[in-house]
Amino acid sequence: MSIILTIAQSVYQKVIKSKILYVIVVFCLFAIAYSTLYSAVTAGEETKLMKDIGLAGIAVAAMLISIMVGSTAIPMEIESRTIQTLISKPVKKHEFILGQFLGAVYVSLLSIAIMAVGFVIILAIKTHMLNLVMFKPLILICFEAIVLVAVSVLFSTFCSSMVSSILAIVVYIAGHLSYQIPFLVERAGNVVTKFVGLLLYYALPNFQYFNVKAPVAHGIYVPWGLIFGVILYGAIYTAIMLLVSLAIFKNKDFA
Amino acid sequence: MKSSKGLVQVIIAVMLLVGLMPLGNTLNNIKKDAGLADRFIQRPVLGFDNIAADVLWIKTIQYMASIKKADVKSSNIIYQMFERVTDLDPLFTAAYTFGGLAIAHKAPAKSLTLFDKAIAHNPNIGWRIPMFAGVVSMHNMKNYDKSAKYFAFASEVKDSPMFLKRMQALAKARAGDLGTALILWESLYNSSDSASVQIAKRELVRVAAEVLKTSTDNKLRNKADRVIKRIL
Repeated sequence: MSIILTIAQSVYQKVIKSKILYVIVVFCLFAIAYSTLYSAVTAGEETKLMKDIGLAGIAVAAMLISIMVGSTAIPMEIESRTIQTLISKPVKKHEFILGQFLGAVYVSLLSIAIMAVGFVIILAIKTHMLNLVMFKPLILICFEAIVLVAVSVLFSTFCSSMVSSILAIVVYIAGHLSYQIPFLVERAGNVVTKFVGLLLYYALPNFQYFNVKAPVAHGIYVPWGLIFGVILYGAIYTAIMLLVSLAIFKNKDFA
Repeated sequence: MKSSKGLVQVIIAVMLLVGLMPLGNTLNNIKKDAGLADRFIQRPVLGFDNIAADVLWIKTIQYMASIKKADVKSSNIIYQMFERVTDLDPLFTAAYTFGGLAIAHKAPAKSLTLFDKAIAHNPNIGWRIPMFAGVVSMHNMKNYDKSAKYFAFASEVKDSPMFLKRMQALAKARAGDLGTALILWESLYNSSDSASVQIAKRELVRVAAEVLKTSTDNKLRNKADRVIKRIL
């Protein structure tokens, strides 16, 4: 366990030096603060606009950070050949993968936490009350980021960082549109199309489960059962991605 | 040995994936029960529907501010813009209210379409939007039957004001349904709201007189007669 945490800490220390991380976080906070100036053009809906911009901004930033960190951690080690030194020492391959994953998750969650605190403070200043209900979509954004890191790590075990980033973005887009597949499968003519459609539907992560931004921004109650159910879904999907990553990485030779 | 360990991991991953299927169905059911279900007809904006609706909302406000004189053409354009905003964000009640009232004079039918959409997508819409729909039906479209239905819907909302029942009774009378109008005014006359009692007294006499003047239904005429005797 200590080896995994040491590798995670090393990933954190490498990634935290990246300027692009700070640019993303600062830009997101700037966009949230700037949204307070829209009151003149929103015809009385400035609070709703602030909530929407805040949650959407954090979601986009979280997506970019998770994919960037998850896709580059392992390929960087491979390209710099430091992986040969690590694997030759008594560091098992699964410890390496889990350490890289945990380090990437830690960076993503830390960035989301900074943006979330900034968002809640700015919203509290504007509305003169603490909107703790905003933490429901923020918790799910965190778990969406964890799933994205796992997907990025999976692709990075057999692709370069550029290719794995692109593939992760494609999975992100497909994951947000996958909820439409059952509607289309119902209308499909043949069995093969139905089978492939359903396979895709269940294999892709359904990111729409993690999307409760709209009802929360409108003040509609989102049950805690849904939140915990989605967290469980995210945890299981992450485990699946890591298991497949380990299976692929085990067969790789770095000599 | 290496490949068999990898195979075991893949098998466990596939088993977990199969286990995700009932969990996914459970999550869909929870979302449906909480009124949060995804709609098939939805712009593919990757979960950023709200922000897309906000951008379009601001654009629509800017367009409305640029219009020098409202006409049917500009009202139709405004209606289409609000249609798109509310397609992206069906819970955006301010958009329905703003849009419906902005085009009520020049495009009342489209105004009612927006209000009906608001009622269909928002179970807890409150009484204001049905009231606006009732007013537009009554004043702009002269469809008193329809306006009575809207006022009835609005008056059944918890904590709705008493004047909605008066509006419903008025609409029924104008629609020619004097029997229902008499019943509604009588219930208002018997209520504890003093403003309603005063107005109901006056309207009961007017409607009862109208019944006695025009109606051939003996039952209704007898009822009108009793009402007049009771009040005067």
